[in-house]
Amino acid sequence: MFKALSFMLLPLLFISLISGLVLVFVYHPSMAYDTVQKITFLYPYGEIYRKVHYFSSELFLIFLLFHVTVELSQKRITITRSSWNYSIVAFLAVIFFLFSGFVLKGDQSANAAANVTFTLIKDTPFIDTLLPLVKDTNIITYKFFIWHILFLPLILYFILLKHVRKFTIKTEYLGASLFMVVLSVLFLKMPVDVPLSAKGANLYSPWFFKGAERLLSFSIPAILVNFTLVFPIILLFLFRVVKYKNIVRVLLLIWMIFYTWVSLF
Amino acid sequence: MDDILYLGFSVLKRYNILRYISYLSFFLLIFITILYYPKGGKGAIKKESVDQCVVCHKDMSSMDDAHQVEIFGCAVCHGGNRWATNKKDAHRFMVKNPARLEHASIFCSKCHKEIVKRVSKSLMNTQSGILNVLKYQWKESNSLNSTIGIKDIRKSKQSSLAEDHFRKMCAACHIDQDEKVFDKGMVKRGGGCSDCHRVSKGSGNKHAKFSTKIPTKNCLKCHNRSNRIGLSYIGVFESEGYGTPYKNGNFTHKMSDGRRFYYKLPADIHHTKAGLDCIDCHTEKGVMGDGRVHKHMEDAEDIKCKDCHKAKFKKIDTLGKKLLYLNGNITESNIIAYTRKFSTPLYNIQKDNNTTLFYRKIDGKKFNLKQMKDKPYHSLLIHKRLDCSACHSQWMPSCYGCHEVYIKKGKQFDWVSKRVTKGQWQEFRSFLRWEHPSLGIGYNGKIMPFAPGCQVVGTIFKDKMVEKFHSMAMAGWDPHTTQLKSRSCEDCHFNPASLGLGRGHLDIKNGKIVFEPIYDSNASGMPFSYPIDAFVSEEGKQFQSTSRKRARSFNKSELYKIVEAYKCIICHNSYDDKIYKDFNNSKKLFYSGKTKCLK
Repeated sequence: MFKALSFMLLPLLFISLISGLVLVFVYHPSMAYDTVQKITFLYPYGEIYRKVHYFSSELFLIFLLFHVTVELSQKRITITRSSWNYSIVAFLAVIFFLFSGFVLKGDQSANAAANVTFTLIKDTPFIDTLLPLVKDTNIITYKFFIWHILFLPLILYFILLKHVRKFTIKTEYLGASLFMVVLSVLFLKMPVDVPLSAKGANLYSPWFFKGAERLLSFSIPAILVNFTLVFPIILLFLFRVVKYKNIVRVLLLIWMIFYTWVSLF
Repeated sequence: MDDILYLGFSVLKRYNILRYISYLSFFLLIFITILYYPKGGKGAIKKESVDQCVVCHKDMSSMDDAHQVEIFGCAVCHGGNRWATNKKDAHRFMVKNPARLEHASIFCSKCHKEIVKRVSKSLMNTQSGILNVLKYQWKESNSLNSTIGIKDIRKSKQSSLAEDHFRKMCAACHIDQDEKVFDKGMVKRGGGCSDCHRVSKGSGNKHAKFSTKIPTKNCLKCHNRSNRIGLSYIGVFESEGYGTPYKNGNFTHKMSDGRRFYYKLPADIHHTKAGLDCIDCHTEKGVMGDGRVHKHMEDAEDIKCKDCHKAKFKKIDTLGKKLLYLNGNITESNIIAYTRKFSTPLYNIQKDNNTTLFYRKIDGKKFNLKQMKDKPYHSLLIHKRLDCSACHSQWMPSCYGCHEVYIKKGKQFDWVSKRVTKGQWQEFRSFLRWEHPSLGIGYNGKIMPFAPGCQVVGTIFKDKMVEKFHSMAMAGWDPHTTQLKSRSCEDCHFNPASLGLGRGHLDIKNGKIVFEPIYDSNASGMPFSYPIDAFVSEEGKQFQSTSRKRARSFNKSELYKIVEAYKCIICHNSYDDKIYKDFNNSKKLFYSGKTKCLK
């Protein structure tokens, strides 16, 4: 019955895309922070759209993690190996989708998170050649913007086509998703945007990226941090092919506990 | 768990609850839409303004013409969220005084990056000049070349005696001091750029006024202690007394800090005759630094008397044009004077045909600037080693024997850590003089006035132990008590105080200098035998240290040369005397016996 919760994913993605579509008309990567603040404070309903976009995306990731956990706990895996593999790529795309969205805020926290990413890529052999894919020399948010509004939606669309075969959004799930988003908008607060001029402010990163940042702060080499991040993905790929699935499950659980511990403490 | 969820979903499906929830969420969305409807009145958006701060801060005045609020808004300097329309969001991360150097490196640096960098390295910020001299004189350091500054000792958890003294007695006058730490009634110092540039306080919607035309009173906030240059310039001598004569039964002559008293002495001629402020002579590079780390004030100092009174003119450069434009009161000119040291444009000194014009920076008032005359008193080779201040300084604040008491058990406010810490300092002094400044060889290798700097006789109360220490030093500086008329020939050539011997009776017996001091250190209980006001003995033995490599007292041969000249000065005591018309020739004739001494 837990599977039913995965039906929330498409409606949440739909809400996120629609709200994001509105935002993209007023957002400009070269003046990222200013335009985000203008959206929040000056444009009519800008704050609602921003909040809807933020909370629907966050809820989407939470439900996705839930969906993955449920699938991993099943005794029999029904989907094909290729569909399984596409799902993992989709999962990665979603993580990057949310991360790029965080960077697009253009505030001090966003810039710090982007710089950490650049360091992670730059200091890892072989991967360092990929740096120009995300780093623009002049505008820190520019490449992330392109990924966020163009490549990632396209990638996600084609992968999801393989994964779900048919996009159907049931009214009741759309309603339930909307309800959750609306409640979040009304009762939850978005993280504070830290102006670029603020000194000594507490910077933060996306919650799913906190562990990586903490590991780097312990002077752990970038290659090891990257491995920590990629490790569960490798396990997910292995999960479909290995015989002793419980070992993979235990390893994933250990990783999860470790990453949560690093992120929180 | 699975069963409970299954049951839950069955109930939701059975009664179409999910469907009702979806209807409810659409209604909620409409509710939010109404809730977030753009408001009017207070908090309304001002699309035409550069930031939304003016929504609440209506009619806020500008700090000056160059930083108009209508053009810059508020957030560009104060931070916060310029687009926010509520107080909480707008004021988050806002800085009340962006001029504090830690903030200036972010806010002011957007336009004045180079200046903020220079000021950060200047002695007014590093304070390494005070700190290193103090450590050297108190024998905690062997070097005068250290660049250790306030930033370094802020990090350290333990302080030496000199560092503790600096923290509690000196560090209040730090350009980046937090103004909030000063109690009511105290002269507030610090605040970064505003320490000097703020010319009036703000309140309500009246922003504090800033200016590049810095009045002397701003400099005096700090330059009123130690060598007291600022006070001397305006003719104020800090007295050891207590404010007499009484007026209406109360003390008079109280200084602005309310604790010290003063005598009125002749102010510097630049102040009395022309009403010049410090900035009229001191250049922006000399004050705010030239970007290099300097060890002592004179290294950072740019201006010399000659730069104005024997001005070198050149075509105006870009910086000169910029400064001239920013001043706004001074007539434009293509030919201006430059400092010899850093080649800083002195845009207020201009050439007009054969006359040199000097403009007062504050109001643009014009003066004819007298250039140094090529008269014997300036051109004589025997006086080539004289700094202008040696002759033209009429008096110098000389504070002999400062008694420093340190009580280990006591507590006192630490201006660096900004909290009360263990250890308390008290300063006592009673022997203050202004007349007949001593002379010696200054930091520049030239003869200049010297005064105690500093003479410390210390008593340390440590639990039940009492320790004593003393550090006696003299320092040379231009006291800024310049007068047109110089000291008399006799005052330099036969006054024991001027020679550095101290106060007493000077005589020459059998070709030897004989000096009998008035002050008896031993009898007065001092831990040294030489007179407290003596820099040197008649045999040329230097009693007290100096804090500069080249600075020293006169040596024996110099003392004898000076005193020897007095024999001639008794008769030839005016530069109008014919022997000075061609002094070298007069000397030649005298030594060859062609002219004779008539006495």
